[in-house]
Amino acid sequence: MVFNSLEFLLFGLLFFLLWPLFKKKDNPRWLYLVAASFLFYGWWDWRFLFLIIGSGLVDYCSGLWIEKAPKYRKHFLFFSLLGNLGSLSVFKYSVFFATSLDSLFLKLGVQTNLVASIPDFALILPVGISFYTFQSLSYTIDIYRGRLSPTKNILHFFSYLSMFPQLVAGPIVRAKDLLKQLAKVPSVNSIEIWNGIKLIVYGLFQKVVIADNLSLFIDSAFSGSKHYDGPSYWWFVMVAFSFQIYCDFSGYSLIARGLAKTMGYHFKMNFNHPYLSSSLKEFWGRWHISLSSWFRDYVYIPLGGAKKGIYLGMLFLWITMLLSGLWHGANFTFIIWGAVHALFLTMERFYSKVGILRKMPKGVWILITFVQACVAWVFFRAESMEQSLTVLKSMFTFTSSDFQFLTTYFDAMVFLGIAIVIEISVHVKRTKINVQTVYKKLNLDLVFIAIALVTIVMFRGEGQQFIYFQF
Amino acid sequence: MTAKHKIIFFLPMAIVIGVVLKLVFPTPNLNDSYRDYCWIKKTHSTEQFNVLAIGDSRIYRAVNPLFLVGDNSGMNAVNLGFSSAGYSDEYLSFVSGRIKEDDKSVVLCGITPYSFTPEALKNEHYHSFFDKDKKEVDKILFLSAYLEDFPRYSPAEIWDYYSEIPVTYLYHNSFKENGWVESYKIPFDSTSGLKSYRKTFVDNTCDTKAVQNYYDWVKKMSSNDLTIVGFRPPSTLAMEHLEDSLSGFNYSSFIEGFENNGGVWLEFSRSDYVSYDGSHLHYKSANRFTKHLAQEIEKYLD
Repeated sequence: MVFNSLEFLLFGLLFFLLWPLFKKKDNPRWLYLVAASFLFYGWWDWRFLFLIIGSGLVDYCSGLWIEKAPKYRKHFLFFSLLGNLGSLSVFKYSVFFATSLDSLFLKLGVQTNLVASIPDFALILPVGISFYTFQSLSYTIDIYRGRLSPTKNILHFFSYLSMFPQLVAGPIVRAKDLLKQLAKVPSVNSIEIWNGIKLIVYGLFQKVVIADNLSLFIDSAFSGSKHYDGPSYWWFVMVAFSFQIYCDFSGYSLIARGLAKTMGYHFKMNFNHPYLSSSLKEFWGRWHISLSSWFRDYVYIPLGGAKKGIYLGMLFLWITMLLSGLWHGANFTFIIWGAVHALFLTMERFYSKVGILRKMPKGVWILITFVQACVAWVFFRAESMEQSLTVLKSMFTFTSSDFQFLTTYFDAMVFLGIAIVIEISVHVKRTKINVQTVYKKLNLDLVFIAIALVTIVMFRGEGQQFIYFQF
Repeated sequence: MTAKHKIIFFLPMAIVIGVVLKLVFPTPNLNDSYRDYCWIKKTHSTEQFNVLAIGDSRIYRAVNPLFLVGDNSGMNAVNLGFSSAGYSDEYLSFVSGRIKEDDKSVVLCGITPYSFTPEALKNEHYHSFFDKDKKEVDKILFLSAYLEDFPRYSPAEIWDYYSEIPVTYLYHNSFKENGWVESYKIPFDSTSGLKSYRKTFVDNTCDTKAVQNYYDWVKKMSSNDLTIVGFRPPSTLAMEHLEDSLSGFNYSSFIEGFENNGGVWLEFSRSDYVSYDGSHLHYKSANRFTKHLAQEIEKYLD
């Protein structure tokens, strides 16, 4: 079930209608949450519910055993890692690994066909597998580290793991944040409900109005169905893609947070206007925050972080970024995307110390950071390495450009303009106190949400699935 | 204003803004819920017809079933064309199931070189609707009735409506329940499609086995007293040259095989019609072409 569908509208209405009846007592509340979440997920393919249940049981049991038999806690952690990363490897990476090995063997003169030996069921990528396995893993790791006590109630655990707003595309909520909230009777006041509504409506606006209306322009560019070319065309395409992926994913996260808020739960912010960052380091603190912090806490810092000297720190950074790339997709282009970010971050560590450069206005740094993100997105969006290089070559070959695409894709350009104006307005609102005062005084949030709602109905793009579902 | 007031007021405020904008904005030319409804009806209806136009997008834009049979003839017609359609066994079997068997029937086949290539034989557009599960089909049929009042608006159309300097780009597609798509593009550019068509034949040329399968189908249908009519949908001279040189498809030998298997081949003069992109007919030409087609097939329906 996707948030921008009729099914979800009916599901959501029914869920919130019955929620007050169940929310007051622990077991009925958890059971209701789990049942609703399983229905939400099973609507796509009920068979893969067994994967969530299996993955969850591994971590639920591991958590209890780590507490009961601390002597063997390493074994139980290994069991949990094996269960989660094993299922992720089978369902997400088996084809990638098999084709990579096949082509490696072929280069060595041995012809193999490992891909053919992969069972059919492993060829389907279960929706949201990367999100819920990481969420589940963090539970066991935190118990192993003594930062969390395991829950004894299996319904409590599964209501955390499978909670429908964030089940298929995050944010990746930590057990230490959500289990405590789930243990209490949720209460919401009208301010929280209004904030929840604002998040849901704005999230839908980002997805349905901005991201979906940009998709035709971007998809036709990468499918090669249009004859446009030249640096200006490809820069427009990449700027549009930067906003498409941002609005698509941020939109989902906002809806998830809004739904949770109206239920009485609080998820941390997952996107904090990343394109307003003045460095890539800042960008990663604002982009997909729940994943970035997951990698920071469970990969980068355990490896040694920045404490082991500048060169080892950089090595750990590269490992983390490459793994982050691989998390996004089973393709070399995603790994290169991670590598490009690692390269830019490495460069940034050096040039950020140069005195003259540090004196440049913040706006210039925001622009430089955005350009770096755009360049990296080429690898993320392209269908192959060859296509990535062709696009990059077009972006940086200074030939004359045909601007006819601006009228052909007039609609997409309008929505791209709106997305940019919104980001600039956020920047102005955050930095100018008097703008904030006027905003509050005139109740502009009410006006904007009403307009956003109208826009969702009248200017919705072609219904597309959320991009991050595939991860 | 408190949060409670905002919760109460945001929806009525949105409704008022929406109604005002609906009154102010021009009616959009594309209603996508109706478009999906038309495609679903095309693929999932079981209604049978006397005259059926089949083929790719050149057909569903060029043949308007409204003019294929007379008003009082008691006969009916449909356009079963799909984007990038190929004459695969499953597409032909789908068409066979829609022919009125106990009456005089004519199948009009638009023969383009692309329709016998491996890519076309996948029939991806056809499958994208035909393979939808019942739940999805019912949803589209159910929703279309309600969503008809909520069309999607295009900033370009609104701009053009109010501005004295139009955007000058418009792709008009008006979907009809009988399978025809009334279309035109502004600006008019009869060469715009050439580049993309050139790409479509890279590593994707005519499959002779598919042509043979098609002949077998023509033979089988013709022996059942059905008239199978073939023709090259009119486009432009440049497009014809491009297709003839890159597709590996030879019209004269195809026509010979087609007629030997019982098909009736018709020739039309491309210069009588206008294509807006070098491939598809402007809707006015489509209507004219359909009338010419109707005159040609009249004798097979009497």
